[in-house]
Amino acid sequence: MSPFSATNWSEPEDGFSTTFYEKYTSQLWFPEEIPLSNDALVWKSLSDDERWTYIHASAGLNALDTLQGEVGMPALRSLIDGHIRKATLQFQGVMEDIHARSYSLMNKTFLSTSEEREVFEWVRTQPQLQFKISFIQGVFADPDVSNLGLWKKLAVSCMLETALFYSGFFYPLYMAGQGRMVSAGEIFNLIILDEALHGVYVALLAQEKFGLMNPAEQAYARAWYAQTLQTLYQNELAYTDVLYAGVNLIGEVKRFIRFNCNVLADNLALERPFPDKEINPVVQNGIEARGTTHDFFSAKGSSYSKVRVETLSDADVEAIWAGGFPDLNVSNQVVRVSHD
Amino acid sequence: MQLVYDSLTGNVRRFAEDLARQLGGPPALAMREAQHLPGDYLLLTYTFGTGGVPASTQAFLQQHAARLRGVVSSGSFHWGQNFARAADVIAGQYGVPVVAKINKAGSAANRVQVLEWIGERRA
Repeated sequence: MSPFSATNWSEPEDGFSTTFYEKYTSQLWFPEEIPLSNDALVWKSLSDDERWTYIHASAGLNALDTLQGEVGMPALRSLIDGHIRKATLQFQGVMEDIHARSYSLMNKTFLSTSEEREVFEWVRTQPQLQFKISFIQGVFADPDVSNLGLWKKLAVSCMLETALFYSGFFYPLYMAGQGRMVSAGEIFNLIILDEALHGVYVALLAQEKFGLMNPAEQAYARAWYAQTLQTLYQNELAYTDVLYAGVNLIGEVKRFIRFNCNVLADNLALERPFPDKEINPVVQNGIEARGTTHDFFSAKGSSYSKVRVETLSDADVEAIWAGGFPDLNVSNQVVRVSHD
Repeated sequence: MQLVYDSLTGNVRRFAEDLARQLGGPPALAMREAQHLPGDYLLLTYTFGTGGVPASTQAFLQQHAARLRGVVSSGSFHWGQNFARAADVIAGQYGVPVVAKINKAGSAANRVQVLEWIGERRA
């Protein structure tokens, strides 16, 4: 058995993992920091169909983030070499768990206990959602850990985060784009920014594995990918039919899914599977709607940036109290208390 | 017009190489291979984090700002107002136009946009 080594951040394992790790720690957020109370009244003003789509979309996302935090990231972390890479993937797993908790806190804020139970039961029995989860679990559990096998696991993780989440993300963005449910929308935008980075990081690891395959394996990988994407895309269309039937947005959601499948292909350096189409302008507005509801001191939003800490030095003190500390000898001074 | 690119995920490289193929001129140059630039160039780079210019691009520009004629940045649409903002930052800093902002590896429309800009400068 080879000796166990420590993590040496002074000697990067590649050109990007440290950058991603630092980006993750700098954009770390928690759902408690974004108050949802402003949305509670708006929630009551929504129609039954709007509420149904909103909460079931987020419950489905909760299940997928739970899958990534509990199964996907630990699986990838255990199979990818390198202490820094493992630390980065583990941090991604923590972020997924935070996302899942965010969805659950939304349920808690907006739903009664019996409504909450109904939504969680729906997740357990929704056929397309369960198909998607078991299909991806199957790839994570596949004992093949050759470059091809690892590439498949990395690729399905990217499929989830970069494309298959978007049937759920569509609606909160669409709402936020109309100025409705903006605080919850801010949480969704924070999650989307996290997932966008996860999709790029894991895709970089996937591209590396792809480069290690011989041409025959690469051809097989491309064919496997096309078939897998087609299976999951068809499943996503059926899921969209169920989730968005009541709010008449089925066609728009499907267009957004195809857009994100193209983003996925770009990340993995594969051919875009669908023609280029613009994003729905209301959704685009929802993506850009940030930094409006919160400021640094009241709460965090997607406009928030983590406080950077700098060590206090003698020079800082000298700059402020040049010439000494005049008030040190307090006993000689008349202490005035100002009341104006 | 020489194309010089900085790429992390390969998206900008693929976009630049595709443009170079369509232009039929010299191949696009990776930034690290572009230490001796004889003439004007179009910079293609990416945006990282909240609208940041990659450190490698910043370092390159400090040496090669004189012949910079325009900038293209790739980005992720998820960043909303900060999408591909590196292009705005570089354009503001060096007084050159933003030729295009592309989502990831860019679309056919983006390629047309950049080719037209290059074509206008030739005319």
